[in-house]
Amino acid sequence: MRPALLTFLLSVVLVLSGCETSVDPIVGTEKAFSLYGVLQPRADTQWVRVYPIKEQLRPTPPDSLDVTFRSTELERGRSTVWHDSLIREDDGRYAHVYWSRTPIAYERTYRLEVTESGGTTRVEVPVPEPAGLALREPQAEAAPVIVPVHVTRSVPRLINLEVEYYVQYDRAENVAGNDPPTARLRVSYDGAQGQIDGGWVVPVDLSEDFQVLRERLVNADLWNSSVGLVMRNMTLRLEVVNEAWNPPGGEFDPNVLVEPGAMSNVRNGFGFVGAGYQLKKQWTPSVEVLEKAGWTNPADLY
Amino acid sequence: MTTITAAVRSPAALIFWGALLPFLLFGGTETVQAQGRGEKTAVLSGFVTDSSDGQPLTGANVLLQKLPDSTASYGGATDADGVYLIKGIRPGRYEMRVSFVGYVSHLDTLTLDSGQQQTINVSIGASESALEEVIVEEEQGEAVDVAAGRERIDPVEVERIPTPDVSGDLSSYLTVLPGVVTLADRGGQLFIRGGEPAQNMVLLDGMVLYKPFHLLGFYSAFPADIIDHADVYAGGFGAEYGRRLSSVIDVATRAGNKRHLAGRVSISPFMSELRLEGPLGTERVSALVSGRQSMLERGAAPLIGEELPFQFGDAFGKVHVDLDENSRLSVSAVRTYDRGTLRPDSEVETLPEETILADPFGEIRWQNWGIGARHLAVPSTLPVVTDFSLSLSGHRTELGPPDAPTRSSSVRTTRIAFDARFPGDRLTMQAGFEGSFSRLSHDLGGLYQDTFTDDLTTLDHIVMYVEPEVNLGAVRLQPGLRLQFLKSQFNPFLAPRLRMSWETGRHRVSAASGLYYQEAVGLSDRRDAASVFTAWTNIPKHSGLPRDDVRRGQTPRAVHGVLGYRVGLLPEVTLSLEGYYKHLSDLFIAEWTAFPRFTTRLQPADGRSYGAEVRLEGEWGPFYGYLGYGYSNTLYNARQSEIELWYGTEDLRFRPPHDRRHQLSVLLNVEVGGFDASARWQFASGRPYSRIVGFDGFAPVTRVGDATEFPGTRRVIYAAPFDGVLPPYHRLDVSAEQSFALGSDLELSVQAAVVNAYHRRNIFYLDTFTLKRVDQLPFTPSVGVALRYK
Repeated sequence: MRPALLTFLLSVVLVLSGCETSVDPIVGTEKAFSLYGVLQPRADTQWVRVYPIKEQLRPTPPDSLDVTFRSTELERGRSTVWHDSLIREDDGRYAHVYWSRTPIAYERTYRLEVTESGGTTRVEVPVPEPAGLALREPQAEAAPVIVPVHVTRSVPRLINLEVEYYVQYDRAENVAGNDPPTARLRVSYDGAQGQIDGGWVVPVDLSEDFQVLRERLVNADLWNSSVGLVMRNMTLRLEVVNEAWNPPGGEFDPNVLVEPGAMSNVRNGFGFVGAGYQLKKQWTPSVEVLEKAGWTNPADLY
Repeated sequence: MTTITAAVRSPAALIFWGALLPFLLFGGTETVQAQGRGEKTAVLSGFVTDSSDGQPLTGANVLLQKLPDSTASYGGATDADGVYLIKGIRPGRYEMRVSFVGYVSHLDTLTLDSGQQQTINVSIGASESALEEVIVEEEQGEAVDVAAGRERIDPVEVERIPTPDVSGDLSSYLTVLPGVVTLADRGGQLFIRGGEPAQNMVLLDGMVLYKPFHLLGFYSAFPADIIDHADVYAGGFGAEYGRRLSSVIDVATRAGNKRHLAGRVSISPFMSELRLEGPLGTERVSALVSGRQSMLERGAAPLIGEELPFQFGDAFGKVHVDLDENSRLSVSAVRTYDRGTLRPDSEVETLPEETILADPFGEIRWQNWGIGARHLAVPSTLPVVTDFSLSLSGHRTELGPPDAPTRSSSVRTTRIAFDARFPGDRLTMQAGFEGSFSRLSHDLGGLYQDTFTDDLTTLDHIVMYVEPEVNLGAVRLQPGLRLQFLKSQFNPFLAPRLRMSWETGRHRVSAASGLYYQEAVGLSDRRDAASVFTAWTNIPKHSGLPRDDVRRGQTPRAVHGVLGYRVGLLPEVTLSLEGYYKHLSDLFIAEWTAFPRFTTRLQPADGRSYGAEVRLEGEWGPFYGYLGYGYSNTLYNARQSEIELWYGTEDLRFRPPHDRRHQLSVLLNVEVGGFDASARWQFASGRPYSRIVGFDGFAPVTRVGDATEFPGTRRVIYAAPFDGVLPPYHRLDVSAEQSFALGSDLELSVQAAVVNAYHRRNIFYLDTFTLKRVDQLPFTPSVGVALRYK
């Protein structure tokens, strides 16, 4: 074979075998951290989880992150540096959670900043004002029987509303004289709240809830018609949170929230840090009110 | 699309077609009887076979010329089973001539009486005369082939493709076709003109095979040694076929040698093979058995110094019986198995824990099996060719450890089909019935959760079709109608089809179109190229959740349009151009999510694919050349409300990973005496893949509480889906084979082959979680030997 032809063929082989074989799948981002947590004015310790945004999926080493985590109360300019800690998640991997005992005050706004050499990820978190729950007279003149519960201040948002009923019932085959079982049964009130002048109202529907719980017992074959369903007490629980705590579609669906940018208030990063606190009120309606709503009079148990 | 579907399923249309169908089904007979113009005509039919081995000859010409003055002549050609049927023959004395390319013509005289139906079976032998070859070749050239979207593949063409093994395989040939995309040289998946593997109907002697392509892309359940022919419909298939959205690969096997014992044994670093065939006591019965076993782990892997953890094999057997002068019976059985890991063990050990837990790269295993019988007859009382087949076939696939697979899926199908063909000069009527009864089961371990609630489902299809072929001289029309009763709903689906061609001189224009439905769906996670696990099931039901798309529960459907042009540039050179469009509706794809796991939900999607293909093919003496180029453009569109949060739009429009835009294949072959050399160079532009913005964690803040208590998971932050493109693929494979006669009946062949001759690093896939890439076969030499007993 002629040297020129051989050289040509070798060149072709080298070009064909070598060109454009590398791949760079990482687009990269200037965003540095993802933050998740809740500022709680009623807690003595605050916690925020910090995930660095990396270009490769590698196990997190149990080493300290080389960052500064600082909170600043914007109204008064008070700053606090938070401490790093490690937790093990369910699958055994490490995660960094920063904490501080700095008190969180109502109606203040806090800026949280995670600073590293390359930049700063920050989030500003307003804390809602303090509020309480107040029972109003039941509307028992006609069915359904409604107990209005007022939230005493115009707080931004209410989430995770539920009523827990502490009840007594019995199995169909149980004989009289044995202690009837008790249970705590919950009914969600998410979305039931309404805004009123100077606050919110949660209309607790005793009639509807009785029907719901009765059906649950019947479906579970736990309904004894001679015993009925007796309510010992009931508890309304809800959480007062800030305005940004607003999931897409009003629903906390992990498959939605997992999308980057979903319910995120973090700048130069991803995630969500909210603020809020829990409220709860426990009471027992009068026997007359309960009977009008369909519940069994405790005196009629057996 | 909606308009078409509504039109064909409207009550008026159902009544119209329902009334027309019986007429069409039985109209063929009436047409024949009317042709006599008061004088009863005769019918001549039979089988034409090769005298050396009893194989049926396809495309043999049968010509009748009236004696003594040749005032009338009648003709016909044999079909794929070697059957000819000529009707409407005026009574009288005729000279009968049967001719075929390269064979000595058969001449005979016969007398046909009024109303007589006569059967004459003819065996002809190969000719030594080149002159006669030329003469019969001209006669053969008159046959018109309706070709839009269809290609008939013969074993000779398969053997031209260089492979690392002494014998060829249909799979190697299919990858040369410009409309066929493979993700890599492993995985066993073919994408045909935008369609996914589960949208391809694969039939072997009428048996439905669900995953017949082996883990290494050179091989399938179809070694060239057992193939008689394969019809590949890349789109626009007629009413005879259905139940798949994209394409059909219909493989027919040879009958065994009916004259004498023959066989072959071969071995190479890739594959070992044994084939035996011969008559069973009488020349009316033959048997053919074939078995292959991969040799990769002990053969090819040490040669290239890399792990090739694949094992696969296949076995095939067939008994063919000439029951009498008018009918044939064959019984076929097939079994294949594959097991292996697409990622070597050494790499799995370096993966993050969550990736291993997701287990997408565990050992994959699958097997196909089938047994079927076929009865072909040309009754002596009616001018009809009948074809009855009954088959039982199954498929099982597993992922994970053999004793405790993490995912599994099984399907078993019983198929009964009856086809009747009434040949004629102007009108050939074909009609048929098909019943298909499938039983599907799966255990997916969380994959596609909230979609599959039933572990066991059944899927029954009852189908009737009619497909007349109208011959108007230069124009041939083949309208078809398929009436499908599917389990998903009571109302039947009507699937109209149309194939046509116009031929004049050297030019031929062909077109095809149709509406297609597919109720059994094969679900794969296409976000990951290495995930070849496919679950077969019925279409997902609507879960009742408000966030479900209302299209759930709809039967996936497709509309095809194909337009082709073919011209003979020179006597030996042919140029073909073909364009196509496919619209796909109500598909099901894996829902896009940022969870770094492979347990995800399904969502409906639409899609479309269009493209154009060019083929230039020529043969000059011992040389053969082929050049094929294909352009393809495929797009999927899925609506998913949550992705708007990150990507800014609910419409998830993306190129699926099999959307290769350009493919080029060049094939050269020379065969002189006992020497045979082939070279194939392929180029393919890069496939789409999803790039990564980064990885972080996700701890959903859904209640007031300490962040230490929130459940946290890893998260992958994807860029826009499939917005990246992998590097292009190109590779040169060469082979050279020399045969030596070791006697009159024994032949030794030695083959040397090189896969990836210039050692191109072609990427198989990139693990975006770890940034590790897995490449396809490197420079791979091999030597194989075969001993053949003729």
